[in-house]
Amino acid sequence: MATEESTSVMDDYETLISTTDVELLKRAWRNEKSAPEILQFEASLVQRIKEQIELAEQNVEMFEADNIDPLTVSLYQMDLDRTQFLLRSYLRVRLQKIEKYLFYILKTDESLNRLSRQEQMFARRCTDDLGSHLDETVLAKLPDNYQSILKQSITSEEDDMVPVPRLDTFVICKAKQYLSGLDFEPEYSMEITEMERDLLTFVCYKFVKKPLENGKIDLV
Amino acid sequence: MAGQSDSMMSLFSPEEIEFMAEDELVEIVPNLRMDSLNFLCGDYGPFYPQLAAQVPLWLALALKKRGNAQLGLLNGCQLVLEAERDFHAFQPLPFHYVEISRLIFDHAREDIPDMYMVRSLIEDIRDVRFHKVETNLEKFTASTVTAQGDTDNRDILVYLLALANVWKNMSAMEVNIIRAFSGRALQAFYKHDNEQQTSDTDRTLDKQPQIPTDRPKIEKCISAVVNDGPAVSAMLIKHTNYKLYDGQGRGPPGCPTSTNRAYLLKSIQLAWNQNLGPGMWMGIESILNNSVIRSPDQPPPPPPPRARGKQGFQRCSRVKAEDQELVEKRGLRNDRDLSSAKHY
Repeated sequence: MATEESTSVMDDYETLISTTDVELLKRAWRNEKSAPEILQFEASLVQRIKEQIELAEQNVEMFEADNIDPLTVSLYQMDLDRTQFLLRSYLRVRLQKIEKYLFYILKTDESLNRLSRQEQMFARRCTDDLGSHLDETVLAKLPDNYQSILKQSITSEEDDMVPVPRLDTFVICKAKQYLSGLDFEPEYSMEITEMERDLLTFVCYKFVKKPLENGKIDLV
Repeated sequence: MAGQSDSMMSLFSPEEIEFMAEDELVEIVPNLRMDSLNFLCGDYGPFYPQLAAQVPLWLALALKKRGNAQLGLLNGCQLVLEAERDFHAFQPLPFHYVEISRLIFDHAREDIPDMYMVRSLIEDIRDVRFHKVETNLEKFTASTVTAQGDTDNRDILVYLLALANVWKNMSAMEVNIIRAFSGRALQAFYKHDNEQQTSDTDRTLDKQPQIPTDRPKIEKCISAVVNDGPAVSAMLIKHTNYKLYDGQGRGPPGCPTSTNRAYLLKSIQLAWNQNLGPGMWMGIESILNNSVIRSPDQPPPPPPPRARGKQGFQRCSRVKAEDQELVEKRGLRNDRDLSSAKHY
């Protein structure tokens, strides 16, 4: 029993040290694409990747200057291109989500904390611009009760002009290890009791939100 | 359509799936010597001539293009095809087998022994698997769990679709194809079913008669038709049809079987009059026909009129003999007038 535990711990450790940053970025990119709401920004990961990319770019320049075999140079360049694509696509997907749920994100602190600093600046500037644009073109000309961006009219109790991310969309996911009912939120435990490892599952997003944050589930 | 989720963002394009497939490791036999490569995504090499090495697919293809390597490839497609045909479940295949095989065929044709054979085998495997996917989509409902202590035998649906081995080994491309459709279909199920749960609790508390509560269900189906598309609504109708009857196949009291269904059909027809092609309409009809549970003493309904080509749509709702009188009496021209005259 003790040996089994220790080997599994060793396996985890080995997978941990052998997973490259690129793998982690790919995983973050896939999760971000599949999830209906914006996920936590992986600040440290992005920072590390940026540094690695800069280093690789310098390497490529050096190789070209040194007249190293053009085949090797082109291969390094290809690898660099692939990593850059991942990073760009990851940031692009996040920006799309921010633009889509702009007002909602700025309203909820929880979502706001998931953005990086630059993304927060972008979101604020975007709301300012969008707000002033809507005001000038449309809202100023509507009757007094209907001039709010966030509410349909003054009589609305909540901000009903703000689109909210739908957390009950269905996503496909794979569990990386066997998950028992404890890993899920207790209020959903009647509905989802377990998940086997490596089994493709269609499930409501809000049920798997917690294991996703803990890194136990991958969205496909 | 407020409240519709924008599915465009969560879809992976085929190129992106190919991108992910290119990271899979394959074996190559290089014919040159190269020092080890320290990529961002891992370290590979050093490469010695005639000694096999494992590299990512994109690297293998790049080397192949420059004539520096040969791919050592997977065999045994024949066995996989036979197994695929015989078993109900999916066979374990590499997750990205479609993309990998396509890439290899495009760039590394000579390395495959019996190229044409393998190519046709892979095509067959793809067809068989996708056929399985389609049949399973038709059959799926969620697995149901009965609430404890509920004497009404009401079901609480659990939307967990990890059933058996069927979904276990689907490949990336197949997943991507059905992702958007099945996601939205399940979402529609969930939404309508949760509303129904709350309305059910009201019903059992108040002991209202069954008939009025069927109308909201039917109207939900209609709204599903309009908003969620015909395919989703077909599955929804099938699902709801199950709920219109209890286990013995008897309809709700006072509501003959055919009325509900006919009402449904007419509503769909009206809602989609200009948009449904004949094929789609026949498909919905057949799903509905297959899902009606009849009680034993009821005679089976007459089979639907056969559609022939483009006239299928009109033929489905062609004027029957007994309706001729109505037509003659009131000078009705087309089916819409007829149906409104019959007060469905």
